[in-house]
Amino acid sequence: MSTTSTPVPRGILKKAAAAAPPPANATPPPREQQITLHQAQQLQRRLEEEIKPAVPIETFERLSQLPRVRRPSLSAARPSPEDAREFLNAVQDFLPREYSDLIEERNCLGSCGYALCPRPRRRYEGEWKVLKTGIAKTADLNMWCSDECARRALYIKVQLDNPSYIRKNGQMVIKLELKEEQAPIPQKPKDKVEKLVKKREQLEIDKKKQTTQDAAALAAERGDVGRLARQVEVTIRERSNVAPAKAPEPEQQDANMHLFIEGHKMTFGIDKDSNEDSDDDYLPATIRM
Amino acid sequence: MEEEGSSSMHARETSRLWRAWRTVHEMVQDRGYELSDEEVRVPLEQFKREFADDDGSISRAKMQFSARPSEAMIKKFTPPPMPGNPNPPSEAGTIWVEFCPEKSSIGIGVMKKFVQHCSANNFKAGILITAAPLSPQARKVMTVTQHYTQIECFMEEDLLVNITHHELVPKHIVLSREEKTALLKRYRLKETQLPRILSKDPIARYLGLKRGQVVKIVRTSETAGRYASYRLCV
Repeated sequence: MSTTSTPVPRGILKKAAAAAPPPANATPPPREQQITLHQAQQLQRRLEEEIKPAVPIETFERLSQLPRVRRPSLSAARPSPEDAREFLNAVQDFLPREYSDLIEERNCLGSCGYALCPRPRRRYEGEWKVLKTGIAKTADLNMWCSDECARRALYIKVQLDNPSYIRKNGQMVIKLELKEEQAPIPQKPKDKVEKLVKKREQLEIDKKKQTTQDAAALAAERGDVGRLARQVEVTIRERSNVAPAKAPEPEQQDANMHLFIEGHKMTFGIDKDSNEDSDDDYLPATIRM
Repeated sequence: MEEEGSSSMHARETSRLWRAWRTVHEMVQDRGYELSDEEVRVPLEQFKREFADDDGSISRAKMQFSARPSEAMIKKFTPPPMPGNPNPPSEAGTIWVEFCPEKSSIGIGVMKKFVQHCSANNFKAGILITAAPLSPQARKVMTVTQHYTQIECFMEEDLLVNITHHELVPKHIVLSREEKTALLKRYRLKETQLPRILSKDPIARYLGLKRGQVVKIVRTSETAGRYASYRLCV
């Protein structure tokens, strides 16, 4: 019994001593700290390496102005090497979505969606367009100047969608190449002469073929059927039959002969007496065999 | 016959542009900028006289205006004075509104020109009204420049009617910073405990709400007469 001045109010909550953390956990040991720090740094590095920064707007502006070199001898099929190099180098860093953005950006300026094409895009009216191959949306057609350019641009897009990588200056970059062109070689005058000669030769060959064909047709019409019409020696002999003809007779004389089918006698529909000791008497007559 | 068709086309276009012109004026006025009622309620005839070309079509290039913020708006958007900054400048500034003459989709070039015009003439905010949608990269230009010039884009077809005049749309009032802190203190709330409204919500776009602003919504109620609720813009 102490005579202290004021009794200290006792809390109803549990004492903190029970919940106090063990001293071992108070400060993490330096080893664990190091591991945590190391892991955090690794995560940070991966974040920096793996998340690709967005393509700057200037790149889009630059690419939407392409091709820089515009000469009548250059076209989308045969772009100038500098333009092609610039385009491929820039597009290597693109995501497929950003490539679509580039196409749209070029369309805003009224040029063909394929970056190396100097021509303006098509401008069909209406929502749909009837083509030789079917019906297409004009919005899809108006993105390009021609179907060839659409093919060229989509060739790049496919490579971005399913990329294959090559190592370049120690870094992995997407391998990109332009669509190979089956360039229509312009006809030179010399070639024209050659072509004429070839045509005449072909004409003569065709003439010969025609003559033989006509002859065959005529022969067929006259009953001459080629190899089958070869002469075969045919001897006609009369058959020597002395006795007068007789009606055929069955070899085995049996009254029930007509009931046999392939050596087995059919019992269907025959009166009971003939097969009394059969096991399947209880069966109705109609299905007894 | 053809002429009749083209003239009716012009008339249709003119009336659409006139409605958009009126709505954008009402919007700018509702945000707190100084515009007289004569400027806002332009009759169709006067609109035609001002903006029609010789052939009767409206030239969008002429359709542009600027507006100064009112005293109340300047006061509302002034941040509270801090010990280090006793007289902070107001966030409200002159606004520039322009109709884009481009008919096809809007690219980077058009957007950049608009942003440069706004920043060169010291406009704090800019509204571009277009007939066609923006390209994805043009939209990106808009968001990149958000830090120094507040650029907003509307499509003409979105401005044909003023959505705030609809009877089912309640009154929305933007709160100032002091009002917001008072509200949070009064109800002992954290910011995140408020109901939310998206910044792309049509009303939020109409009022030009920015992330973190709070809007007070006053509805009529059969039982209580008026009922106020608050939304945080996210």
